[in-house]
This record gives sequence, structure tokens and C-alpha cells, in this order.
Amino acid sequence: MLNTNKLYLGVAITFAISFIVMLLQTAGIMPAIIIGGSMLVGVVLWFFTTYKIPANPKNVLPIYLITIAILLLHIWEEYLFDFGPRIAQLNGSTWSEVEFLTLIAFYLPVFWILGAIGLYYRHPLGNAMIWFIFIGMAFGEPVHLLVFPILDDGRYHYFPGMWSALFPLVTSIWGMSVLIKDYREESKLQEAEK
Amino acid sequence: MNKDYEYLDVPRWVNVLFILSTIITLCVAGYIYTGALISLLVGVPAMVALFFWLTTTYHQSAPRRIIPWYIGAVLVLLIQHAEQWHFNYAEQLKLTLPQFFSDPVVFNEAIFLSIFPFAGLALFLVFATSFYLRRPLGNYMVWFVFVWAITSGLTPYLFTLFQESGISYFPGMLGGVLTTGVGVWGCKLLLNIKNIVKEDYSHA
Repeated sequence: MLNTNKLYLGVAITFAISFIVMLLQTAGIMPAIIIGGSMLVGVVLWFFTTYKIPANPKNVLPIYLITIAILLLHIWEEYLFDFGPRIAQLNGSTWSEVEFLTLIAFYLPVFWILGAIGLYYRHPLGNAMIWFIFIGMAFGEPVHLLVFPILDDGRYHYFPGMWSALFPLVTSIWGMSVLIKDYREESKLQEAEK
Repeated sequence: MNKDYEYLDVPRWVNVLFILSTIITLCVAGYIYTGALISLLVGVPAMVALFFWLTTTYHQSAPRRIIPWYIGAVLVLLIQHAEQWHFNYAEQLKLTLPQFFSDPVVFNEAIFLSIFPFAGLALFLVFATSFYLRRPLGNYMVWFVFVWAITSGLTPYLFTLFQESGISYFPGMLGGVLTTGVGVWGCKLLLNIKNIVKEDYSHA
């Protein structure tokens, strides 16, 4: 069991690193730091919590599903207002709309949705994905209001994704609080059983 | 405060009226803005799903073990939409059936992406939560997603028959195999649940 879990840890780290490299090559340094950083912090938090005791889906799966739904709506707003090319301007990269859609609207959501199925079956990788999403939303999304509008041309104004950026933050903080609470209760139960 | 006033007890039939109102409104809006074809493509499966829901899981929620299949259906729909987007589904559809897309109807890549992979899949995921909590609307949506997966899977094969170039690849054909498979399997699971429920009643 422990060896299998180590394999899953390796898979999660490899996935995070390969995705960061992919982002660096297309979107540039800023998205790579924000999304990649979230992934790595998510892996660390997963390792110290639901890696050994996977979360009970009863409480957290509905919150996770709502978070992904809101995130899809957020990406829709980003797409409609040319998020990819605007980020490319900021970064000096060549991130096109096609690359943005391929990576953020289709490639990543496949793993988010797979994560929901994994979470239902209490699979460790499903738990890694949920941490990545919750951390990413909590720390990555406020950037739409706090960083991008200022960096863009020095004055505070609308930046693609701004209107829907804070809503996934709400569900992700809620989700993390449920994850931690459930993990603590489950740990206490397991210790008491020993 | 009296406990009776703390909750609003919504009668089950209100859900049916709500679904019917939503289907009619969306079909009319679809007809006006995106044309009769897109409206029919969504409206017909929505009515078929309503029929099956009323005759199966309307009175008794389907068990939660359906949820991985439901989320799996959303996943394969996403994969099919990626294929459709990559191979220019909207433009191909307009070329194949131009009679459905004459002015003032507008259907392009942005509208396709907005309706199907973004708003559509987000809605399905929200209703996955509703189903997980065993709400009637969630049970309807489970039927809709499976019927829709079959429709979305089979229509590229139907559209290819109308292509000027003859029967050839139409965007969504490859992913359509997956969506049809998951949709058929999901419907089969739900129909079996109906039999189990019937047996339960007959033994009661």
C-alpha cells in the first residue's frame, strides 16, 4: 500500500513539473509561477493530509464539483476577453488563444474531472487534484484583481477574468476547511483505534 | 420560531414545471439566436430525458453509485468538444446544413464554445452536486446528460450524410464513440434501477 502511495506521489510530482515546463514554454514565467506554484503547494498539503487518509467524498465532493463548475465559467470569461493574448503581452511570450484554449479549457479540465471521479473512489490522485484546485483558486485567482490590472499598463482597469475570479476562491476556502476538519477527525479516530 | 416555517417544502411536480419552462425558454432562445437545428439538437434530448425521468427516477432518486458514470459522461463530452473545436465543428456544420443558418442566425466558434464546453459542462457539474444530494432536478439532469451524450455522439454520423463531399469525417465522430458508449451504459443503469424499484413495490 505504502509503495503504491509512493508511486502516486511520484506521478503527482511528475505531472506538476511537466505541466510547469509546458506552461513556461507557452504562456511564460508568470502563469508558470502562479499555476505551477499552486500545484507544488497543493502536492505538499496533500502529502501532509489526505495522502495517507483520503478524504471522505460525502462532504467535499459537492464543493469540489461546484468549484470546477465556477472555474469553467471563469475560463469562459477569460476566453471571451482574450486572456491568453493579454497575458502574452504582459510576459513577452507568444501564448495564443488556441494555445490558451487547448491547455486551460480542454487539457487541464480533463484532469480536474478525473479528479472528481478519483475523489469519489477515495483515490490518492483524486485527493492530490482537489488540493491543487483549491490552492490554485485560493492563491492564484486574486491575481486577476491584485496584479494583472496593475502590470498591464500601469493604471487599474478591467483584466480578462476579473469579474468571476473571486467566486471559486469562496468554494475553495470552504473546501479546504472541510478537508482539514475531516482529516483531523479521521486521524483522531485512527489513533484512538490503535 | 415554529419548525414548520423553517423549510420551504417544494412539491415534486414544481420541478417538472420548472424543467418544462426551462426547456421551452431555451429552445425559443436557441431558435431565435442560433437557429432551429441547434434548438432541436438540445430540445429533443431534453424532452426525451424528461419522459424517462418521469417514468423512472422521478419518485425515487437513483443511487449515488451512478455519479462516476455521470461525471464520466461529462468527461467524454469535454473530450468530444475538444475534437469538435479543433476540427472547426461550427463552420463545418454551417457548410453542411446552410439552410439552418441563414441570417439573422449566428453560429460560430465562440458561440459553440460558450454553449457546449463552457456553460453546458459547468451546468452539468453543478447538477452533479444536486444529484449527489439526491434532489429531483439532479435526477432529471442525470437522464439528460446520458441522453445528450448519445445525441452528441450520434449526430456527427448523421451530419456526414448531408456533406457535399459525400460521407467523410465530421468533427466529433471520434469522441462520439466514447460519448455514445457512456451514454448508452448510463441509460442502461438507470433503466435497471427502474426495474429494481418496480420489484421493491411489487414485494411491498
